[in-house]
Amino acid sequence: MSTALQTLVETSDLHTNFYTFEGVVRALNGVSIVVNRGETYGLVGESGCGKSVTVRSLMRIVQPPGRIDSGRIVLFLNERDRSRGIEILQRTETYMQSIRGSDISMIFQEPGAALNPVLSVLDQVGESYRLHRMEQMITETLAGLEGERTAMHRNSPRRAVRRLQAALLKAERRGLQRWAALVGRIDNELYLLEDRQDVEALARKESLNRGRDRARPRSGLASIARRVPLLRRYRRPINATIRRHVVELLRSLGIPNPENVVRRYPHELSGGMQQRIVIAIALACHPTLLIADEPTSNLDVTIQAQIVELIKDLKRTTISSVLFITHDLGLVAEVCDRVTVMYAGDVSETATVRELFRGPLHPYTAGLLASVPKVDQREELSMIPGAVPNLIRPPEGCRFHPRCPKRMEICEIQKPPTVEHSRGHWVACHLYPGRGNA
Amino acid sequence: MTQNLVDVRELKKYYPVTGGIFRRHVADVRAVDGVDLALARGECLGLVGESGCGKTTLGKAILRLHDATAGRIYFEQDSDKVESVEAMLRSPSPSERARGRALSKGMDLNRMKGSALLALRQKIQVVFQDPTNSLDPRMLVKDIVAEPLVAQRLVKARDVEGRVRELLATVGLTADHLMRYPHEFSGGQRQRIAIARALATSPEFILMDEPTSALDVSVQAQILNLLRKLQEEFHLTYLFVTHHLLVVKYISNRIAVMYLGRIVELGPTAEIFARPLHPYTRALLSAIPVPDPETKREKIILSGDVPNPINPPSGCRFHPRCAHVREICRTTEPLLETANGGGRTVACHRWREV
Repeated sequence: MSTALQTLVETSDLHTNFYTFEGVVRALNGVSIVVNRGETYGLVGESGCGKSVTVRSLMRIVQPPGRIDSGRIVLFLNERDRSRGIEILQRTETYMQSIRGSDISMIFQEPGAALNPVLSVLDQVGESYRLHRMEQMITETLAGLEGERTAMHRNSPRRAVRRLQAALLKAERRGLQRWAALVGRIDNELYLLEDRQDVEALARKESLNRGRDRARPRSGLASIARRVPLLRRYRRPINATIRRHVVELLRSLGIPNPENVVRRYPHELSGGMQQRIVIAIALACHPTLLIADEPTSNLDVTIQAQIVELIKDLKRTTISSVLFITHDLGLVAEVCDRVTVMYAGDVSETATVRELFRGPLHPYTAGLLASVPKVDQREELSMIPGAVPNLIRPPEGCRFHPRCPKRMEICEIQKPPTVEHSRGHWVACHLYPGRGNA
Repeated sequence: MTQNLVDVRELKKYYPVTGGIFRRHVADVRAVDGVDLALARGECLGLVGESGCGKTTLGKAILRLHDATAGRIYFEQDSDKVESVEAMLRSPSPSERARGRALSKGMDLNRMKGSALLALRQKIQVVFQDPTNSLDPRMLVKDIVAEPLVAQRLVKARDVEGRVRELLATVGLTADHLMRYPHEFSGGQRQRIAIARALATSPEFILMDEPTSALDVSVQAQILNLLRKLQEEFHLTYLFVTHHLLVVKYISNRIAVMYLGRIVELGPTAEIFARPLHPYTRALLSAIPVPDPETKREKIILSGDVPNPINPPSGCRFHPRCAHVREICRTTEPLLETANGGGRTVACHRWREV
């Protein structure tokens, strides 16, 4: 299927550094990955290899002292953008905010830390609807109000209240629509200007970006009403709508008794349940790309199996692509279609799961595969000597060479280029001389 | 004289739950609720189960880091004597039971005090899960490893450093590492330091409380191989607590599966992996992700979470999540019974059928 192999996100030569007191941690050393539509893409490696930093760069949520220093991240989100993607490193933070949680969303590792302890499940899951789907929420609420109003007696005073509520909600919706249209126009113009680098275009881009940052959904009537006590209650029916959506979502994720769970706080839930809530937050707006950053690493195997099944199910039904980060090679074999193995900020090898497990090319991949206990393990586990290097002073040349059993002289001097060894199987190692740099 | 190195009988550990204005005792968290377990000298017993099933509590009770609520722990006691004392404790006559209690007092680790306990502590050691937390960040490596030697007054002060060097060499570290602090090491090296510290008193029994869970895959293999080597070299006995089933398979001779404070199945590793009898063991084994994309296995997905140990389900504790549940499972609690010979036991009413 040709549609299945369209690129969704592409990073090329990404460098992300962390400027700490001890020195510059070169966390990503030119990472290039491609996630296609409709696939589950795995990112494997040991802790500190940069897999989390890669996806954080992708979402542009690298926290200081970290910084994305160079490279490109191109996003191909909707039909219009497909001819050429949107380069998100050139966009503003507000643009990213409109994408995060809506088109790309992330399941963080350690649900206990990802959830806010002082907000209820309803507030946390509902936040996505509030931020990205407010217009839809208001429309639904209005429909509900309309139904209620017609059912009431003609002269009932509550009917007048409903009418006032509806009027204010409509005003708010108009504000939202005006804002969405404005933002859409700006984004479109920015998209057209993207490739141009001349002074005029740069100035125009900057003013557009500033305009986009300043743009807010405004509506005179509603903003006054929101400041007046009693009158500001007009928004209450929206909460009920959001609540209905959240309960529905939790139910679809197999959470028992969602009406009750919605009222709870994170500490009242078990680890598996917390992880489901984090997944619910990520899925609220039906993202195109779901990034799962070690979604099961702190969970028990039986709960892990439940969560993995859930993600596989969602992949079949709601979301287009999953970027699955893990250090567990077993999970990769089970879940992913294509995998990239990372080591110390470098991409070592990219291949389909089947090929990677059958014929690993890079010595690191081979060593990693051999050091996992198998179900029918008899002989002693083979191991990779040494430990992951410190990335403040990474080894010269190939970063794996101090631990590599097949080390050559060139490995200590030159970083190996990534070459396509066989179709769709990329490897960065001097053992496989390619046809020039890829 | 046959003897089990460690023999645990009917061990219980309850944590009180208090409530109300007067902090009244309202309920118990039954972390470990009646466990029998015996470890032969030189074996490695893997203790697996989900978080909250009581496996760490059981380990810590054996170490006397927690005092058990009830039960006996015999360490290096003659089996015949243990059996006779246990028989007395089970007998219906109160005077016989009192005699049993008196006799067991000298043998039961759970009731030992003072110098007798201190002497035993020498033979029982532990390696914890996260070496970042289990090593004092303000102590030098040489002090960390020497601490047990000093506390137990095992070697003369001038010989301490030599012994520490020797210990570091056995775990694959060098004398260069003596004058450094734990934060200067990687996770794998820190765990090696923790292992060296555990070996310092020449113990017989080491509790391994998830020693590789905090480590990377490639380092995990190094530590597992080291632990295996040390076990052969010093003839150690391990109680290996973990939730990682493939690790347990690699390192242990026998496996005990715990669920909600009780052991549900126990037997030789190979047999349990080949033919699990308890439905919970089966679900647990089928849930292991296999690092091989070619094999697609039938997975048993358990529904729900582990129940609350304050108020465990009646009858078989696994019945709310079990696919093979019958009326008897809801009412009567199954006891561990011998199955298929070969030292296998299982606590399930229907293991023959399912």
